[in-house]
This record gives sequence, C-alpha cells and structure tokens, in this order.
Amino acid sequence: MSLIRALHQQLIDRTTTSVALTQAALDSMVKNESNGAYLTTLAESALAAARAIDARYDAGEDLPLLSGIPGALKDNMCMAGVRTTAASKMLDNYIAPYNAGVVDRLAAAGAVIVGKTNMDEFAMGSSTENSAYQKTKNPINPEYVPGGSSGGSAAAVAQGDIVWSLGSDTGGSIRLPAAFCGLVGVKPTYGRVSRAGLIAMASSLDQIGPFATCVEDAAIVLNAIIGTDPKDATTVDAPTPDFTTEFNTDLTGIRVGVPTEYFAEGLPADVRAVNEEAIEHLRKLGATITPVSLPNSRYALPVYYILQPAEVSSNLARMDGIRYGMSIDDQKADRPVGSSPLLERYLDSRHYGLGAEVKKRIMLGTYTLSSGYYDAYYAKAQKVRALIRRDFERAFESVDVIYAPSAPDTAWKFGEKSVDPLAMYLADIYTVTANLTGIPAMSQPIGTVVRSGDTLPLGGQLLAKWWDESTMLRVGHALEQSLKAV
Amino acid sequence: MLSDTEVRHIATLARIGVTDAEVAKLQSDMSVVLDFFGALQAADTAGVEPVRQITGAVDHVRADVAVPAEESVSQGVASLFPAERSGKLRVPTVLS
Repeated sequence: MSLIRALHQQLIDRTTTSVALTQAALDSMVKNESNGAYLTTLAESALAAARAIDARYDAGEDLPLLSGIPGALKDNMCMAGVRTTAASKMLDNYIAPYNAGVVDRLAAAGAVIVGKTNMDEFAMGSSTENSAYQKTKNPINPEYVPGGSSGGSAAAVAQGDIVWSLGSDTGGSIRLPAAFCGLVGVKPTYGRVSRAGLIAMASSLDQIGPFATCVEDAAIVLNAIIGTDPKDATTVDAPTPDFTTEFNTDLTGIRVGVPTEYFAEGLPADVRAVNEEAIEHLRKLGATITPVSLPNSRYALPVYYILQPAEVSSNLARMDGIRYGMSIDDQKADRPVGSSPLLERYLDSRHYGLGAEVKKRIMLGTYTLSSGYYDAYYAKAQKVRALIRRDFERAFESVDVIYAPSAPDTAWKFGEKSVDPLAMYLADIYTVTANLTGIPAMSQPIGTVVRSGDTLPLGGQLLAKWWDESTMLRVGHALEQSLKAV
Repeated sequence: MLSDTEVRHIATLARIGVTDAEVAKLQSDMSVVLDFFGALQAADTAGVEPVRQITGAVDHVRADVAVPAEESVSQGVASLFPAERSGKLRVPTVLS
C-alpha cells in the first residue's frame, strides 16, 4: 500500500490523527533544518488545518485520500497571507494576497501545508544553488546538490519530513531533483494544472506537479490538483480520470519507444547500463520495446534556452520596484543619458533585487527579442520547436510511451557547475523536450551508480502522449514494482 | 563577443542597473550562450509554421467589465505598494 493510502487508512481508523502527523512533520523539519529545504515553516496554520480535518474524520466523514496528510509547496506558489518569495530578494517582503489555484484545490482535498520550500531564484537553475537565501543539501548526501529548481520540495520529501510536495517544471525542475534525490516527480501535460498564482517564469513551458516516494502517491496528489481554472486560460477541459485505477503489473500490449538519439552519445557507460536494465524490466513486464527516432531533439537545448529567457524577460518585467517588490533608488549606479526618476528606480530596484542568473536570463531574452534579432532567434526557435513536436507526434503513432534517461548523470557537488555558463544548462538535455512539446513526463528511481566513492540515485523518465498521464503512470507503477522485486 | 556598449544597451532596455564588473562578466557569459544558439542555423525550417500555442488551446475572452476583488485581496495588493497615497499606487515622476 502506498504511504498516502496507509496514512489515510490510519486516519480513518483513528490510530493516528492529522495533528500527530503534522506535529511529526514539523519536528522532522526542525531536526533536518541544516539541509535548508524550507524558506518558511507554517506551524500554526498547519496545526489549525489538521485540527479541523481531525474533527471531520472524528465525525466519520468520507474524506479524500490527501485529507489531513502534510505536504509542502515550492515557494513560487501563492498562499493567501503567507510570504512568497520565489527565493528572490526582490520579493523578500511579498505577502501573497490570494491563493494559487493549486492551493485552493489542495485545501478542498483537505491537505495540510507545513512549509514553503527553497528553490532557484524565480526557478532559474538546475541545482537550487541560485536561491538568494540558502543552499539546499541533497538528503542522500549533503555534499551534493538536490537538483533544481524545485530542490527544496524534493529534499523535504527525501529527508522524510513529509510524503508529498509540489514543484514546478519549466525545463525539468521537478524531474531533475526527483532523479537526484531518489523520488518520483511528475510534470503533467501543459494545461493540466492551473498556474494561477504560480509566479510565472516561462509561461509557454511552466507546469506544476507532484513529488512523492512512489508512483501511486504521485498519482494521488496529481488527482487532487488537475482540472480547468478560469483564472488560467491555458488550462484545457480534458477528461480527468482517477490516475490510480488502471495500475497493474501486466504491460502486455504496451509499446515503449526508446529514442536512439538519447542513447547515442554523452551517456556514461554505467548510467546507460542502469537505464538499459530498466528497459529490460519493461520488456519482462510484457511491453514491446521499439526504437524510435527524435532527430530534432539535438536542437532542444538551444531552442529551450532561447524561448525560456525570452519569456522570462517579459514575465519578470513586472518585478520593477513600482508595483511591488524591492524598491530602491540610491543614485549610486551610472545613469544612462536622459534617465528619469522612474527609470532610475527601475534600474536600481532590479540591480539590487535580482540575482546574477536571473539578470543574465532577462538580458538574453531582451537581446533575442530585440529589433533585428527576433527572427534569427525567437522566431527560428519557435519553428524548430514545431519540428521537435512533429518528431514526437510521429513517434507516438507507433508507441504508447517513450523511455529516456532523466539526466546525463547523477547529482553533482556544490559549485561544480557554477563556472562554465553552459555546464548546468546541459543537465536539462533529456527533460526540456517534454516542456517544449507540452507532453506529460515523469522521473522515477531506477538504480544507483557510484561517483567519487558515493552511491547516488539515477532517474528514468517516461514520456507519454498529450493528456495520457494514465498510461505513463501505469507503466511507471509497473516498472517500480518490478524494480522493487529484484 | 558582445561589446561593452552592447551589454550596457541591453541592460538599459531590460531596466537593470549594472556595475562595470557585471558588464565584463555578462559580456563573456552571454556571448558563450549566444554562440550555443548558433546550432539552430543548421535546422531546416523552410515552410515550417512557428509554434504559437503548444496544445492548440484558443484564447479565452471574458467580458470587458471590472470585477471587484474581495476586500482582503484589494487590501493585500495595496499593502504591497512600495509607495501609496490613500489606497492608490504612487509612482515617481515620469516626465522631468
């Protein structure tokens, strides 16, 4: 039985209470404080929510699976009355005036929120080292990064404080930390989950999804947060099946595609071996394994790193020190000719409020969108994005899901990829295609390899057709059971 | 490689104040990333329509009428204003 199901049963039987589970989570958070997973702890409101849910369990009410079970949110999701920073000094004093769509849905499901988690500033990074506040250590080994940008949400679950959390995934920001911390992480289809009240990074790519310790728990959390929202015009009225009902370990009739390009080069031999073993498990479960070709995936990283900063430059224009956020005009910096008090406030507020990576991406986006460069960069990238989507459409004519590595290697040590400006971007090579095409994708633990004498987890990725999270989760669940049985 | 002047110009367009040290680092870092984008030139995109919306969703348009926010929301927003006067957002002089 999955952890969430087991806890739910204990809550029904009243062998535990939501208050007890919440207090245990809060105690664990204190014990693990040095890992730096959280930016805000919500003890008081969490315990109040837990007491309210306990009263309903006491009354014998039939409650959703997530009711009374504590979890955490990445600090880019708004909760009314709660500080929401996106790990930026720019939003150091930002108190969200309303709830994000997912927060309302979680509240309706009775979930208890114990904290807001650390992340790369405005979700820009693959290691959580870009947080303006603190580093988050990988609970598997504190010398290593937890991955990013949702590193705090991954660490919170991996260190055992809670059994689920939410992250956001723009180019792999759920799947990469899931892989690095030995968890399941799901990026749903673009438009599955409301982003209302999610501090936007790149709006054509962003999607919210769950972290959990097993596929079933991730599916349970996903069930609770999907659906249309009039406040997010990109949400689509797709069927919303219970993702857990089709779970079984017979994959007869399921066709799994393996992209030849993803296994061609750049994959260390031991990483390749663990991934091939996972594919072998799928074969033994009855699935048919077929090579597929995704030739335009070779362009995925440059396309992603053009489009995403372009959207960043537009979305973060609002972080200007006028409407909200850090507001400074200290007259110290050099002034462009003809500047006004308004421009000076923009320049200073953004100079002090934003971190180096964020500034670089805003400027890259400003450059590629500027007059004379738009066609060469942005328009070209949107055309190549169409080619990448076409590759996937073709592949899905003959397969139901695609299997790929989650990342080229394991987690790295702090600082290892901070000098070369491209090194960290390359970690996203297998994850960005799902965001560029909008398809659902998930990462799950498939085994370990040894780096510098340390045993570290690897993630395997399943990608499915638009809106077909059901098949993806079903295959992931079967693979998980098969790997566990070894 | 981007010149010092180009980086300062982009910074002003992006409304970001930069120091001399930042300009020097951005010159090299941004140039490395821009070079990386050059790989796309090899992709044949003749006759390819650019992606506008990845799942094919169309615009949702609501009636053009003001919907009053709940008191707690409007007060919450107003309390975030860096400068305000009687509940209104106060901005610096635009024309000097």
